[in-house]
Amino acid sequence: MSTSTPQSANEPSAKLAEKTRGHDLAQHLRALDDEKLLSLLRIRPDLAIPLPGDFPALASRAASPSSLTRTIHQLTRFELEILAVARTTHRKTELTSKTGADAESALEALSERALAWEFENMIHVTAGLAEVLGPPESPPQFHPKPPTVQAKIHTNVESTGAAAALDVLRSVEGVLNFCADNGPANLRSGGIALKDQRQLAQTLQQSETHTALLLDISHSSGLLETTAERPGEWLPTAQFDVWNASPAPIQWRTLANAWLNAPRLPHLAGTRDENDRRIAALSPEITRRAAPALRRQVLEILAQRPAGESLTPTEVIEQLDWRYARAASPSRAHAIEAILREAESLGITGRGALTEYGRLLYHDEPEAAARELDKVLPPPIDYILVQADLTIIAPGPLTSDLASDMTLVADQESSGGALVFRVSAESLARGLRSGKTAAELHKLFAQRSRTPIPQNLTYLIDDVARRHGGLRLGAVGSYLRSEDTTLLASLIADRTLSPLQLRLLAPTVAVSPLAAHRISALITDAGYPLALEDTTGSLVVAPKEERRTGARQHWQPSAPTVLDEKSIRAALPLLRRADAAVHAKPESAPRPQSMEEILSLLTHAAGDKQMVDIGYLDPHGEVRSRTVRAISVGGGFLRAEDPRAESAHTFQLHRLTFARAHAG
Amino acid sequence: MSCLIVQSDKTLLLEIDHPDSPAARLAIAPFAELERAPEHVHTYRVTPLGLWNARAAGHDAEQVVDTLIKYSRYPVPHALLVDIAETMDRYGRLQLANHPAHGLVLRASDRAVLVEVAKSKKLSGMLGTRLDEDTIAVHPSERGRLKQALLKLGWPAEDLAGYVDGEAHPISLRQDGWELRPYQQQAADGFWAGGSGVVVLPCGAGKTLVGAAAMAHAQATTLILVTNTVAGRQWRRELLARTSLTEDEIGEYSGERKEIRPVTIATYQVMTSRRKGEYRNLELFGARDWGLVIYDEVHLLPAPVFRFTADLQSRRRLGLTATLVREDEREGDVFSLIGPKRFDAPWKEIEAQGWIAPANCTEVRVTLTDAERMDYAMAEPDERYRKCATVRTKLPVVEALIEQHKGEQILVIGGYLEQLEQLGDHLNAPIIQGSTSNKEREKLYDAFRNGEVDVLVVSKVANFSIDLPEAAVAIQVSGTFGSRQEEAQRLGRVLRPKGDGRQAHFYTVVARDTLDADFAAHRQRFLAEQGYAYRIVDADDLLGPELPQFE
Repeated sequence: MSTSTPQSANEPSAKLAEKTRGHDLAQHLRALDDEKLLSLLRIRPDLAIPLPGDFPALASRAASPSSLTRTIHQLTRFELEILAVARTTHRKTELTSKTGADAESALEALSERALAWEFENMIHVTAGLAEVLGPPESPPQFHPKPPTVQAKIHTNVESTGAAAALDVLRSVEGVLNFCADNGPANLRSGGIALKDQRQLAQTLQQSETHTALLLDISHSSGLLETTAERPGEWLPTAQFDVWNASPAPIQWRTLANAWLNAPRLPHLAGTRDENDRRIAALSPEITRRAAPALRRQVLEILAQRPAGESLTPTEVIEQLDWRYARAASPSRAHAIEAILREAESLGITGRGALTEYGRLLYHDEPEAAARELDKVLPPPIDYILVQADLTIIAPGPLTSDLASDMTLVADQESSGGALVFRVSAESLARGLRSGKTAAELHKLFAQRSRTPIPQNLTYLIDDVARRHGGLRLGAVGSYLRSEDTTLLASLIADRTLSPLQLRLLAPTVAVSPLAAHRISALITDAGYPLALEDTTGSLVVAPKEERRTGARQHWQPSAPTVLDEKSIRAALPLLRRADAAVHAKPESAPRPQSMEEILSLLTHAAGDKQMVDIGYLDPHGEVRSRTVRAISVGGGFLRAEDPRAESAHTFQLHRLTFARAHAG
Repeated sequence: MSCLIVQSDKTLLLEIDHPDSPAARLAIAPFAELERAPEHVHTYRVTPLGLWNARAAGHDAEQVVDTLIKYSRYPVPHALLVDIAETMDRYGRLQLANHPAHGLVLRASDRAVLVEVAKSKKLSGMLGTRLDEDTIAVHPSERGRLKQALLKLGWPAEDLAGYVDGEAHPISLRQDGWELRPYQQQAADGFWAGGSGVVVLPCGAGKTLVGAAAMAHAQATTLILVTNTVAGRQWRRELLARTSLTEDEIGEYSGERKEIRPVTIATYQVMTSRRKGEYRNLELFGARDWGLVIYDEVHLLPAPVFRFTADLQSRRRLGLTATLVREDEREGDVFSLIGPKRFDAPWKEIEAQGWIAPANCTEVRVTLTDAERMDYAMAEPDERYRKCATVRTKLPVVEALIEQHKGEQILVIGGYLEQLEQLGDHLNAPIIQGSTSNKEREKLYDAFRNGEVDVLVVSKVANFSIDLPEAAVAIQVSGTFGSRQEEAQRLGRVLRPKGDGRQAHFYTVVARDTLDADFAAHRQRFLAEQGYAYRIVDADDLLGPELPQFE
């Protein structure tokens, strides 16, 4: 795969020129005091995982394209502009005269990230920038400050957010009930068919886009999952029942937190992929690892505004285009708009401003956020209004016990500030089937209704109850029938047959919950003559169960790579010790080599398939050395073989500490 | 605590016992339609049409949003408010107008919208040449269809193209000893100022007089379309009594008579009757140069009449109705072809009219005998309803009800001939059915009106355009009515509150645990939604304990 080409062999030396102008990054890093070094590892945690063996290794990792790209994406527009100038302008005085005094803080930021640093009044920039940023280009103008925004203060941010929060809870419940009833098929390529999504949108009276979001949040929250078979169906998980019984703020916390951390961009559902195929809702295609980070960036912009102050989507995009300038793109702008829309519909923002509970959520305090939301939610009510058209109005959110009673005995017609239910013969029958008696139904309405119970409801309950139980359905494993009623009676009375749990349905029919093959032996052993009958005519029906699928291992919220303070602090002495160790063993590493030197040597060696001695860091951070035949260099790897062990090896270049031609 | 709750599906729940509810009702009426009015919480619905109606009446989005925020008990989701404002803003971006040189044109205040709609396939053939960036010529014959199509595209056009005067004809109100109520005057004025449109007034609020006042404004020949002959004759009586019009000036255009006079009253039925697939009576629309067309009960306007109306866009049109809600969901056609809502009666006035619960409705449940149950259970699916609706067990119940209301005028209504004959025999009452001659009918009706006959058994023909007299009591034994809406209307018409304050009664005798009862449940729901009080009784309670046979 990676055959080295003359170009790639020349590249390092080209970069060498730009690189250091006499002072290299490794020296700079080694000279940093502990605090500065710690701060670097904090800002660029990828440098510390895993821990590099010494400062040259740290430096070469810091100059690797992937790490550079990552850190450059964190720069503001102005920092990028200053970095561009610094690549061509070496004298600091010259630089500030070009860019203005504001450059000082930007330089500081670049220095903190080890992208540029001062040494003897000269500006040095890290190697490898050309690969990531292209040839240096001086910006035509400088943007030291983010674009200005127009302050718009809203008063009812908290309550607007709370309204949206309640709304999304009901919608998600609607989504999951719909899936429980319909079990929409999982598409072969993953996701849910447009037909099902439309039907759901219609049921919820929501737009298709919003429906896609609701489905995705349900999934991300672990409430909605595909069944085990492939491709399977989308069904609520058992977790849904737990969620459903939780108080509203807790329900919201689950959804909002899942939204914040899901590596998915639900707004992409409904758009077209590169093959011009429509991307389905819930499709794996809308997974984007960067989504949580982008959401946090959006909330960060809003969190910087004073409480109650809103920004328009355009303003947020402009702010982010300045703040995280490198990633600005039309698709990011779309994603930002979608994120703002989603945040509003979840109540994380209200009227475009971050709510207090949204702020707490952003600061990773979901429990506190739920408590804050609870303060502004209308308190649950414990009564209903029953009307003669058989509608039941709950003029506010219901206490969870009453809500579950109502959902059981009535069908929900609309939701919002209030809940509207309708009682029908079917809904009451459902209540009876679940074990409520007619008297309990009467009592439920009489106790909970603040308005007199209309006479027709009383009649309806009695009507339904009268018919209920007239026809009974049960499940049996097998039956025994005989014209000889005495024989059956003696079977029932026979103690040796008690494990069969026989029960007489009629004088000539007994049933057992056990399957036929399990009882035949016992009965025969007990000395009764038994003839088998084929199953035609016997009714074996399983009662309907609420359909649920098992919760399966789904993705864990992947928090951005953040090292905790403890591990960074622990990392530092290790680094210094390893660095010292390398330098204490001159025989294995006669002098510190820069990555460019190592590369150049290995590239030559690989050209002639020569034997080389190399030093490298093993996964435990220990320096090891080995003699191998270099085969190829490329893609960040050295491929080599060990002629003695007759085995092939691959080494990550950034883990190499030295390389030299093998003397023997 | 406020009295209004906003739901996510854009319904508004109004707690009517709340002290603020009259004010809130007044504030939401311009943009929300009353959907259900049971005893405690009324449901209004905010639809695009409702919002556009409000817009056409001069309300703006800010007012609507303010109203919702002001009266809502809970915070209203911001997205919903934004949606309302955006929807409302779509009305009037396009206008139909008269261009001095080019005649009818479509003009845009928002160029992008014009570009968008001009590209639509749904408008192909309706639009003519582009006159300038904001104006496109429209053929006058497409005025109605274009408005329909634009509404479907979500860009309802404001029609400012004006009207022909029509053939002049002097008409004035003769206000001797009575005068228009203030809201009737406002309604007529509102309509006239708007050009064309719909006036919404509850039953009994005097819609006919609003029509008469509009005619006095127009001073022109007028075509009045009504639901049936009864209504037509009522119009005629009112016009003769309240305006300068004489017998000779008012024509009836119905199944029986085909008179075309300066003021002609036609029924929807005759307008939509067809022979060999052709509408036979279409020439009526072109028979005169009508200056005004009045549509009574717009919510019942049949589909073909919409089609004819699309061609009548240059004539002033007045729609009268108690509700804008249509069961066929063609509210959009009312909006684009008749016009926006021009007037809505304030609720206070309606209450003053004593419109609440004009009739007392009772469902009487009879239990089938075992033989009848078996017969019903074994019946073919298409026979089942007849079986349960016509059980003999209902007869003694009807008898008992008549006994209870002795001395009052009673109609017994049924759907099956066999059953009607049984009833006639049993009650010793005359029967009117499809085959009864007109002469015989008139005779029996007269006898009923003047009290010679106090019980009349009528078939479903009574539902249609015959001059059914008013009664104090109606007992329905079988036969469901076609449209629930129609039923409530008819019920209100047949059963008026009596002069002495006694309530009218409507009984339905229903066989328990059968299809009959299922239909009854539907009806009840609708009646309750309309605010009618109703209750259920057991036939046994009505009949009392069974008497021993030997007595």
